[in-house]
Amino acid sequence: MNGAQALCKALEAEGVEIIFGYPGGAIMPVYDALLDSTLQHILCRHEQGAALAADGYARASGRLGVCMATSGPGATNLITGIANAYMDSVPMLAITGQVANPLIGTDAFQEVDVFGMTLPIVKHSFLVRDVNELPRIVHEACQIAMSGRPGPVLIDIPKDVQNAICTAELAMPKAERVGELDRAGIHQARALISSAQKPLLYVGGGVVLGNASKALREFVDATQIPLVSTLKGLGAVSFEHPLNLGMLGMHGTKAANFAVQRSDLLIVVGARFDDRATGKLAAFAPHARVIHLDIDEAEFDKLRHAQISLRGDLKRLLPALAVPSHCEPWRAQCLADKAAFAFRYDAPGTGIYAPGLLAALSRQADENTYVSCDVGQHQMWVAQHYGFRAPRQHLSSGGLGTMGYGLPAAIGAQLGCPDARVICVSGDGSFQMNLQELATINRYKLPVKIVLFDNQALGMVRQWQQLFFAGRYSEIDLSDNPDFVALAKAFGIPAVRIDSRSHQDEAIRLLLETEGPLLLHVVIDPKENVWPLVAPGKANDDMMEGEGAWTT
Amino acid sequence: MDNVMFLTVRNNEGALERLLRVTRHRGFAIDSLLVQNGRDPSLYEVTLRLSSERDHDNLQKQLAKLVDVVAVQAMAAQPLLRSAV
Repeated sequence: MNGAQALCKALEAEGVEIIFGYPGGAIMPVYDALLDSTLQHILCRHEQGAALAADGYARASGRLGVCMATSGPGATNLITGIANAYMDSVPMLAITGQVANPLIGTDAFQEVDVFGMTLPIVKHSFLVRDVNELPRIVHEACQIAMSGRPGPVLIDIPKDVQNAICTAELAMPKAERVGELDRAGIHQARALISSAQKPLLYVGGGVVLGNASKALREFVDATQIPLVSTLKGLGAVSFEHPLNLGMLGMHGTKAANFAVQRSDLLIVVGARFDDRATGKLAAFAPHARVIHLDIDEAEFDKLRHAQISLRGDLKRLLPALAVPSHCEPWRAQCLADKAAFAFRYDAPGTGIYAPGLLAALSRQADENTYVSCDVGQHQMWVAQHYGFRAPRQHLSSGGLGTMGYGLPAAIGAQLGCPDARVICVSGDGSFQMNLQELATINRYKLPVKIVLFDNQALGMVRQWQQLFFAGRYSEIDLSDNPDFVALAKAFGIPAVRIDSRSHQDEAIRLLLETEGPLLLHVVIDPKENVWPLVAPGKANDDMMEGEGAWTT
Repeated sequence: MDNVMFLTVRNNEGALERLLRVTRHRGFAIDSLLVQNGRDPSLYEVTLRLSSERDHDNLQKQLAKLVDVVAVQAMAAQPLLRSAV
């Protein structure tokens, strides 16, 4: 057995079924070995697409996402996807071919130091010098990627290692050690929760990654404490839960931001005080004491001091903290704000109002629907107006903010959850960053649906130039966009264009009833903005709003 | 404030690069660096004297997260210690 075959065997032993990748010179022995393995390879059309598809696969399914590329440009093209996974703590294994060991450091053809280039964006990485180390390294890499706070791990494999004879056995799994909980800290935290008059849960993506959504829902039901969510926490508790006040932060709901600012106890669950969530940090939750729960100790006191920090598995910590709260007037105030400041969708005019379309889509889609999105205005509209009922169904590039994420992530999600309906909501700017992946959808006959909001501009940049750069518009015009319907059809994907609100219901029905892939090209008002908005450097209760009353 | 970090690090490829990168990225200047082989050839001992406006507790936790780092201890740099590192 050579190194390439040993790699495939080791991946099979780890339960890997799908690899997203793209072949090339320095990874050819592995592609040869793939022909005899049970691993299914998905040929993307760009290595960045492969890495982002592996990310979408991992987020949606909860399993390890695996991507693979050759050395040099193949490896560098993976980098954005690896960084994306790192910023959002997504378990990923990235495998790269490398020039043969004797050529490393000689500026050989397609040689780059991808091990060095990715040091800041991996949880760990390996350069395989000895073929007999390969089975152990694959096992360790998978363990590291999936355990604790998940993240991407890189294995760079020189071509001579892929060809060398491997005599090492598969590595045996070791039992993961379960740490003790801080009982004294839990005791203090329970006392704080029980005595707080204005307690609030601040829920982050760690709840989703830690598969702790059920524990969180039980905690909420037991304590009756209201909650706000980060972008990545959306769906951890259904948007329909009465105590869910929605997303906090820059484009958060008024009810959520007001609650944070007024709270006297913030229970932070798997969140990290990201600047998009906190706004001006010094003015964030100014009256609150903090209980911080996380698997990663390095998040404690990084940006905000916590009176009590509890490290551990959220599934164990949350039940240990579930004590009745005594905050009836506070709860009533939060619920009154939620009702008073609910989003409205009666925008004037006959054009399509993107928030309204998304709200209607979420009402009509069934519970097994996953939504990926790109980055920009449409991403915030999805977070605000598409109601998520379950964890893992909202695939959004939170930390890195990667335009071009949505389409490959939808491909990964569809392959990870074959029975689910997967919808990619994109914008005309983001969509063109990875539109080559339409060919992947067509190749594998994936029933991915695409809702492409087209405002003929880089909308979020335009919005900021309007608001913060005195309307001096610089390089945001996309009025010469391609014909997206013709483009989709060129890739063998049916497409429909709508530009009037009167066509919206029929289009949504078509989207939900079509069995195969479909692109819905939705023309919207180029002047539409995302509201509310907390300007950079402002406190979260200092929210800007548009002129239309429908934005409340 | 000046601090000294004492690390035990696995002798893996790139381990020193990783910890120096984390130190720089998290906002710390390295005033002196000492790397020594320990009794166990698979481990080495690193002593870093650092200066920064930032809290060294955060850096200590970030370094402890590195897979290659076995242990990390930190203490304020006393004048007496400076000559030693």
